[in-house]
Amino acid sequence: MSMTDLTIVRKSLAAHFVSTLITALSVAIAVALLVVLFSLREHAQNSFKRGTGNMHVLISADASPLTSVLNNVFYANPPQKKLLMSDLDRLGLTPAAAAPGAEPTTRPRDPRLEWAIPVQSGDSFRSFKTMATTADFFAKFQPAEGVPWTLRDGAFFDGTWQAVLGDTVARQTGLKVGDEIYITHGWSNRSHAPVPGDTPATKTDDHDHDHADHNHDHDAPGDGPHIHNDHPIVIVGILEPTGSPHDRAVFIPLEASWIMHADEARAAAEPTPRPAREDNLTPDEKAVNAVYVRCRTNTIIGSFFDEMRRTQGITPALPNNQIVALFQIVGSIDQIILAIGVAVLVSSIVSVMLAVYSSMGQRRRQIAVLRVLGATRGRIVSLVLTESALIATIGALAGSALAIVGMRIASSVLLDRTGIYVDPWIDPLWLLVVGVATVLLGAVAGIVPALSAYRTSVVRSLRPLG
Amino acid sequence: MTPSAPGPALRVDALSFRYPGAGFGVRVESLALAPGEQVLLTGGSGSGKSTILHLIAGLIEPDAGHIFVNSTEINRLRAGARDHFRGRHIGMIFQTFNLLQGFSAVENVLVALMFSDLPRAQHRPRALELLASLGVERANAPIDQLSVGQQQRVAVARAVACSPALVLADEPTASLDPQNAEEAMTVIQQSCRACNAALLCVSHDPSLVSRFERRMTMPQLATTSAAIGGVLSSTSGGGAA
Repeated sequence: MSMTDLTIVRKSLAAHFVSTLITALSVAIAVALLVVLFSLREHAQNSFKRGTGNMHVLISADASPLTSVLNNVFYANPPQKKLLMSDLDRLGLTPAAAAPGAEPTTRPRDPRLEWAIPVQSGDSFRSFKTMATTADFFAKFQPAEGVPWTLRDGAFFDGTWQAVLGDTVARQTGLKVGDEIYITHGWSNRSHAPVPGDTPATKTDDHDHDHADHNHDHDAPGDGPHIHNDHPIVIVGILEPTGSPHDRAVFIPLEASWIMHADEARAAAEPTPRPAREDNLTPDEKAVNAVYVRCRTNTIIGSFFDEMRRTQGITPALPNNQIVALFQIVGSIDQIILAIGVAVLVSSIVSVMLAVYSSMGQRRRQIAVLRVLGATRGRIVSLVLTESALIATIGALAGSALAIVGMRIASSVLLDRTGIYVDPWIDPLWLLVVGVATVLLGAVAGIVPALSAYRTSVVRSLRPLG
Repeated sequence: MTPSAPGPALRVDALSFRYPGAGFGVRVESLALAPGEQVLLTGGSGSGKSTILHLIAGLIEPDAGHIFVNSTEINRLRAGARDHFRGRHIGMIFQTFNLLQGFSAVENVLVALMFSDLPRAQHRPRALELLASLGVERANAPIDQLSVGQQQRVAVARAVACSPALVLADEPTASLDPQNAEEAMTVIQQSCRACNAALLCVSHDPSLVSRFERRMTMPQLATTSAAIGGVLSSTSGGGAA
């Protein structure tokens, strides 16, 4: 093996091993941070599309379309406004009554629509939100376009007092098919973090009727905990993960929710309340928060949406547009985060410069010897630039590895904590862009020390010490 | 004095140099070394001996005059070309060896060969052969693990690795005890003879005098400091002790 410039650079780096390691590590962290930020940014918008799935229009009475999407799809807050089933009848969103002898259909009366699925949220089980809906939610709605629901265990509900658990709920509570749960009215502020070894059955402990944040104006305060004791709900199915916020939801039939709310309302209003049953619910007691709607063709969406927008008291939302709008709102924060990422990279490059520069003092003699042996000033400059770029390269490679691992961790943490699925895949293009930029910046960082090397006086540096 | 063909390994004509901003300077009217010729230049410290070596090596540029190494006027070459030329045709040996720390003995020689015309494949065999012939036993040992005597041998191997026309030795024995000095000087002179390199050795060590047939003192070779401007005498041939 003959000696090459790279061997000389490698030996120089080895001579300052600790400083090289620390500097490369700081570059690696910056590179990883930047790559993860770029990738998260790219994936975040796609992730938010999970959840709205194959829905075209979201109908509600909320104050704004964005609120409607956040509350009825992403479980951000308990929805404030309700729609009655009779309202939906008027809008053509409910199926026509089946003709005698014919199979009952769930197809909405409005012929432009493929399906319309009413949903009602606002209650909870431990820290998880409930979603009361119809069987069509599982049969027709897809949480991500083209990806239908699949069950890990059991079946979808087909009776009133049944529940289907999202994947995260089942994993975090340890509940199984056949277990019974009680639904809490409103969203509990109490933390119900599952404790390992905690018995999953909840006949007593999940029964707090916390009215602090319930929002249904027809609900009465002050009911006792005994009422919902009448309504244990059996878990009949557990869903596979979908990577959407629905993984953190407990699904129950609309009828179950209506009966529980009706019981509460009647207990507050009547001295001797009649127990609510499916067949004695009044129209006022049949309320929902929103309707997930899919049109038969994409070309219909616009006219249907406009018609809904003109309807008094109705707020239609195009979920994908709302998500784009949401990202425009957070866009400036996004840019600040990116700017921080770039700043971290630049500061790590400055540390490369300092590391190489501070080693120059000890290396004047080496540079002088190389000059005596025939190295031109240009060759010395190139050696220093190479060294600086090499530190950056090591950092970029380590940072890429760190980013890949970091994305997987970030992805699983986000999914567990927020129910938002972020694809951990990193576009190699980002690695390439950030990597090449880092190596080039590394070489640039070498310019100052290289100039110092260029100016090194050979004669003065060769003088005997002392 | 104009030696007949082949051209001299070194020829210096009317060379003058003054350190910028300082009063100190040197002037050499004439100096020539035939191929393979060995010359000792003696003089007290601060007399300008090293400056003359640095001028000849092209490490500093003269104010006036001509320096020919192997018939190439080194002070007329552009900076980069001068560096290349030095790497191929001039070997240097220092009092403090100036070996590269963190490099092994053989790697120190390989660095010199990097700048030679020798094909890469021959670098390592050449370096190992040279070290063996100079009595360096642990060619792969880190340089700081070798004895002082061994280190100076590595330095000599590095200086002659590219088969230079001229070797410049600057106080090569000043850091060595008498026995090592004796050995080092033998190695230097033999190595130069082996590749027919001319040797200009600068030293204030009187024990070296007997080893050189041709020797000169600084006052004989050059005028320095305030004396610049006067006529200077150049002496060649023996008997200038």
